[in-house]
Amino acid sequence: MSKKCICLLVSDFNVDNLSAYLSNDAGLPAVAAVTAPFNQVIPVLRNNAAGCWRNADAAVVWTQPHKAAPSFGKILDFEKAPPEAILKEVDDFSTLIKNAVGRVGYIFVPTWVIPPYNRAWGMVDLKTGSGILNTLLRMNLRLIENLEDVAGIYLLDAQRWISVAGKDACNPKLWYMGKIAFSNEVFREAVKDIKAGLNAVAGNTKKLIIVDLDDTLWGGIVGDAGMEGIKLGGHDHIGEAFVDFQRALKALTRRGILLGIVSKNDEKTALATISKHPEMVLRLEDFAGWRINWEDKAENIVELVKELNLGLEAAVFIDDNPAERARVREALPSVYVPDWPGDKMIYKSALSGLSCFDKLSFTSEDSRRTQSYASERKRKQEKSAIPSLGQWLISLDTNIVVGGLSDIDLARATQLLNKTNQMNLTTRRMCEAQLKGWAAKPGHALWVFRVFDKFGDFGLVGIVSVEIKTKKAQIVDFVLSCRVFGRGVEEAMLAVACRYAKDSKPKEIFAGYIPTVKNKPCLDFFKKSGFNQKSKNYFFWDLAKNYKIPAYVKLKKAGKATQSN
Amino acid sequence: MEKIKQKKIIEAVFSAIDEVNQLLPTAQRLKKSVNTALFDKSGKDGLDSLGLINFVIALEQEIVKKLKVTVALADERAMLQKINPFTTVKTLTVYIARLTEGDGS
Repeated sequence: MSKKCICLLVSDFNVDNLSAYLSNDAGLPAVAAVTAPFNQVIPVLRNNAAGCWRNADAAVVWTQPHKAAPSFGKILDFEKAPPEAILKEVDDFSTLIKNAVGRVGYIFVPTWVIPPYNRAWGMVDLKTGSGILNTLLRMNLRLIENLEDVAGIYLLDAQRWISVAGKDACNPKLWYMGKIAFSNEVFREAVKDIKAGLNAVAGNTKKLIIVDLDDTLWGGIVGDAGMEGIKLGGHDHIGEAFVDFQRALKALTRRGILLGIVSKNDEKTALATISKHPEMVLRLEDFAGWRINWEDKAENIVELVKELNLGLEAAVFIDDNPAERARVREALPSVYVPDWPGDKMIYKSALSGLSCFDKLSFTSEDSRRTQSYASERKRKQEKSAIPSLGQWLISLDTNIVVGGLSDIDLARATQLLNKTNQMNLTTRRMCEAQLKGWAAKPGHALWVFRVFDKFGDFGLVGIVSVEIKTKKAQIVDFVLSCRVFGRGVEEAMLAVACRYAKDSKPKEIFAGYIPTVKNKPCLDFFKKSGFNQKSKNYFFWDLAKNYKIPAYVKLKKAGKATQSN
Repeated sequence: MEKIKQKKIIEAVFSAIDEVNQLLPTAQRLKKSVNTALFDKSGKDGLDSLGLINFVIALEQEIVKKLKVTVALADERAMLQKINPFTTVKTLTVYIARLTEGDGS
């Protein structure tokens, strides 16, 4: 059983119910919630040594707006309070949160809300200066501006929780009897977002949506009704709903989520429909791969996921047919198969309600991921046409650009470090602040690798870090996206590490492999890397020798590596 | 009629137990039975004070849903009863039946 994430709840109201929901929730990651002393937010944030921070992996700092910025209390009482004074209090509060970074891996900060029954002053509420809602919006905007770029701090939208809970989001009786600011419906929604956030920081988000076709992407059976007979778009409420569902899927591809198809259908008819139907939003280039045939869907999913170099746990399967969903759930428990509504008009909202795709940030690599898989299809087509592997590797014209860890690369490098499972030497997980801090330490060096070839740009796909010890250098991280395995990038990364270590005096460099259930590809690579395997999981290279880069790749420097001596 | 009402009250109490059980560790979860102890001052049986607050709020909402009436369960009337209405599920259902008749004394 994996270790529970210890989550500290810091609040100016009673969060015992939130704590209970977080701890009892069966979804991953498992959380052991602990509460900081009641109503001691400021002292706890100020005190680096407060006992409650000890052993905590993450924290949630959830406050009421008038407690964090006392002048807002005057606005609630319809007294005058200068807007700049309120925003200054927001700035001061933001500084306190920033100062707590580093005590835990991650701090989640829900935005400020007021109870929905607080209608306050009607239209006056939106006026600048005295309006409650106007002031609250400005406070939240300021809070976001202050914290959004701080590594390790993530804001959560509490207003969504309130909206879901509706008129019962806050119950005055809960407040007067227990100092509980929100109803349990709000806390349950908060748990969903906190867990989604914890999964996002751990890189455990889903990467692939596999969809069925008939009655999932369009209405009707294309094999029976033909392309012109399916329900898609047009002046029809069901047709419109399918178009909107496709739009929502397309939006996810822009966030870096891959799309795949597994459908029992005639492939030729299905592909023709996707390519030619005038109302299709999704086209073939939007799909990273497909299996359209009459075989078992579970087997097709396994094949498709393997083709895309992903793990089954990265996949979500959406199918209108409950029997197919049950079959996949039973055969492939690692694949997430959400319950799916029978009503086609709520497909889009069902998709939007899934919290398994949450990410900490979006990088340029995310936006071109689908395109990258389309390029990979072309590579494979060419590979099958060229008989020799060596000739094919030469024909790809692979270019590798190595550089240090810049602030621009930090989000993507952290994402790669936390999401990569297969080619990952130690599976070390760190937040942005921790990674940046580690790389800046004396004796540490970290490089990021970008790769492109004649078919397209993979973006930032590799990380190597080295720690110089007295007589030896250690490869601490060796992380590479599965999309470029076996293309000579691995050897180029080792060459960079070896060159740096050689210039830093040690006579030898080594890599210590830490096994996980998923990183055997990394062990397999090191076994054939030319490094000397001295024990089961340790590989050494004598720095008197140069580590060679394959002739079919070109390695270029982007800039100076992040390194200190 | 009375039987239907009684059934609805018990359903409301059991729904509130479901709600509050989500907040409790498995070993402390309440059974859905008329003899289940809900609260005693010693804290030995049933819910603690926070658990009782959650239970009362959940139950008030369930009564609105199932009986279409609004009741205040946590007020001085409850404290004035010879037998604490929150002793067991049974004492509570009797108390709610009286409250919803307009007789809380």
